[in-house]
Amino acid sequence: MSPRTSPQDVKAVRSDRVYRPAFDLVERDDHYELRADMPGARPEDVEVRFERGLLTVHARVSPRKEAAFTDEYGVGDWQLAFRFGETVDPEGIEAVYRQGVLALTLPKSESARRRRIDVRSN
Amino acid sequence: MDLTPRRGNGKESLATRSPASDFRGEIDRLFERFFGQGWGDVFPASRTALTPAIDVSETEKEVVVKAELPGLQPDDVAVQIEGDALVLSGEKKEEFEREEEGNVWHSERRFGSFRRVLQLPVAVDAEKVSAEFRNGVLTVRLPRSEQAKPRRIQVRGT
Repeated sequence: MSPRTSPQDVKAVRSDRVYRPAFDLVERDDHYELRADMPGARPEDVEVRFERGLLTVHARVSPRKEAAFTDEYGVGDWQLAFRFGETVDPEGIEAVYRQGVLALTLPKSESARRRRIDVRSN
Repeated sequence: MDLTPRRGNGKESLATRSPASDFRGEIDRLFERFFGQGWGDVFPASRTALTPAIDVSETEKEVVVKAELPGLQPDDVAVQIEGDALVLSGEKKEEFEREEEGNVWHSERRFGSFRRVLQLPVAVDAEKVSAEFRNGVLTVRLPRSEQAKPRRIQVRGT
């Protein structure tokens, strides 16, 4: 894994564990949609950055307090990095975090939009 | 596409790993690779497509059950006490529209119904159970019933 995909200036994480969330990424004609399952974070602790073509998402999650009797999931911060390069126009990125799911809409830059070319027959 | 190590249901973390979750994750992936599909597709008789991860912990006062259920609305989850078991069930629906067709680059999130029955480690007071759903995490607090509270026994000496 290339170290360059890690965010350069991420804040030190408080928990000793960092997880990559399960996510879906769909490409439409003029934008991308990314949905990531990041339960346990408060909306104010979710950070989304886009820098030089690299999208980074970081969310702080408070560490588990009680000792667990049965634990099927670890508790830790969420982190996701994804390289879009020049295909995305950073100005129009929208982020919504609801019920533990982060939904990002990333508009494509002009050159990256899909265009239908009309086929003429005359 | 460049991705940091995947988490899966077995919770591999980037920094630390637990052998148990590694193993579980490995077996899940083995099945997925072999059958080319997830558990729910291989065994259609199982009614659930989703197996949310659950945490059970206890204090002197109560049992606390947490379940990671991102993307659900509070109305989509049912919490029931049946005898000495806690039953969590519900359905995760995609809440954001998928209008037109598109290129799917990565599809990892699961949807569908789930049902988990948990044997409670101690007796609880069903009347006082409370459940809260915030940021995709369901927290159920089950106060121990009076008989189940730990009691100190006086040790008498002669």
